[in-house]
Amino acid sequence: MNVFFRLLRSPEGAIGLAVLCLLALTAIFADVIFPHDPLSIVGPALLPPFSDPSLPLGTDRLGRDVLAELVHGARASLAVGIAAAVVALVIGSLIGTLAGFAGGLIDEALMRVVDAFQIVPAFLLALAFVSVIGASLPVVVLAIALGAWTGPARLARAEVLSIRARDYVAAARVIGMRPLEIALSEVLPNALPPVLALSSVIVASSILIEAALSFLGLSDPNVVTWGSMIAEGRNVLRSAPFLSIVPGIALMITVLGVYLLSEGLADALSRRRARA
Amino acid sequence: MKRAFLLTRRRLLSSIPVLLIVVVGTFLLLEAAPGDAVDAYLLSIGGGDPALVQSLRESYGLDQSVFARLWLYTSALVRLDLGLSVVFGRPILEVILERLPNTLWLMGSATALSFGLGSALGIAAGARPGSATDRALSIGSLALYAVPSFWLGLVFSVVFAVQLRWFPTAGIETIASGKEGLSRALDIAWHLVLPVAALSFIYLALFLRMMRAGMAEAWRQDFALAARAKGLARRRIVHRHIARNALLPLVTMLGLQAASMLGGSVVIESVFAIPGFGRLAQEAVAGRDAPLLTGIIVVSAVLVIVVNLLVDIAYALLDLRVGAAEPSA
Repeated sequence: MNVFFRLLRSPEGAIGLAVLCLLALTAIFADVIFPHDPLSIVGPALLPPFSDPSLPLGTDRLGRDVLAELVHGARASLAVGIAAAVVALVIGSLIGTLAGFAGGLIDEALMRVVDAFQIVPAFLLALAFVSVIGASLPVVVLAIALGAWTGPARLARAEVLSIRARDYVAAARVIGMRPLEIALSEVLPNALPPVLALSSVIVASSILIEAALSFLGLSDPNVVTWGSMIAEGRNVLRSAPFLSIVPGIALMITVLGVYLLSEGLADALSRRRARA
Repeated sequence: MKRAFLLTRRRLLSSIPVLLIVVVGTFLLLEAAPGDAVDAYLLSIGGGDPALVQSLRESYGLDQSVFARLWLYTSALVRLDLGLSVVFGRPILEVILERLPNTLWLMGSATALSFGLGSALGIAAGARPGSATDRALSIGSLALYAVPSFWLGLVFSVVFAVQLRWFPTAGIETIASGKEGLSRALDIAWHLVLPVAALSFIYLALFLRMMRAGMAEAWRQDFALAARAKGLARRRIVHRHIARNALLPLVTMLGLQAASMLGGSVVIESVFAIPGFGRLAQEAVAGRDAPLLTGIIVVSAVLVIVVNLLVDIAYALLDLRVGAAEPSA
């Protein structure tokens, strides 16, 4: 609780938290704010923003409500970003724990696999994966996680290597716990906090990768995403640049909110450690 | 120089199994794709009878098992033979080598700009941690760090190419301009200004933040206190002691971000229609060209290994401690 209040007192943390809470509420209540399908046609095409009070941000090339698309797009961006980070953290910490705990040949083999995933550009990997399996939200999540799990895996392994030598692990071994049981119930929970600190960076980069993938047309065509809105607006970039610019600003604010929150959190946590 | 040689040899040896994992993994991934090269080829020529399909499958080797083909692919790879592209109907290595220079120019310029400007601004911010300059640069870099590069590219092209007409909107050089030598180089540089700026801004923010953090850390160390106690001028402390110590991690980052920048160039090249390596990847995806996509991923892995090797050698030359413990046998 103390950390939470300290987070609120730092300007970065407070702003980041406010931005993300607002975005999360928008995403959750998107169906309440705009109950109709955001991909349905509601007005004349290419209506400029602020010209019609019922369509505050205007309409796109096909006469769809830009604000409704933007609100529904928040859902896809946040969901993909958070889901990809969760998948990456779970895979990464499990493999890292396994490598660090097993040691020897298994460790060596797993770390070479981590190396292999790290030298292939994450975006190219996601591009190839989505193009092979087909574009839908779960596939995009998995594709992004494939390029992001190596960081958590390396960190978890390093943590496990240091925890493995502690006394309480030796004690667990003495009372006859099985190695897998020790790894999952004693080592993993203690190795997790530093790995979790990576989560904000992964969420932010996942949101950006998802946007870039849908910009290239590799996303579910029935789901509005900010990246696909930018791509759609690109067709009329000269006559209606706002169609590409508005969703880009939304993306930037979201990612900035994630970074601000993580800065504030790191600040609050380090101050607690300094005082202890 | 001997240290650098030993480091190179050890690095190259250890990268062979990693590269093998990349090859096998990519091959199996693309094997899972529905349809094969024959389907893609038939689609491009407008169909054919079953006898043609059969003979094509045989000539492509697609009638054999997955593992036989994986073995064939890997053994051909050793001879630098990446196979034939379905979309282009030419050797894949040839197509890739044709496109690679454009991307290398783009990435090289973006790296130079982001590293140079980023570390310079980082020094300005880290010279007095907590000052107004520091706060402004830190917040500005965080905002820059959150900008999607492809969107920034679009904004740049709207503002500087469409509205102001300072730079061309797309392409790598003026088509059929007949320019030679220096004027052609200037033409290419002029076309690269916007894409390089769009690609490098996010890394500029990264280098700025790393430099600033490293300098803030260095100020707390004893040697900084000693330098101040000696009565050295602040400028001299900042440049000779603080910045110098904060620079080494940036060199490491130079290698680490190579893979991510190569991925970023895919979207930037698509925004600015630059016929480079990244755009080739998108063309391979659009044309369902699995052999070409495999080749692109393998070449990008090799590229990242080479960049990291160069960075390691640079690091060894800058920091004499690196590799000194290397067994000399």
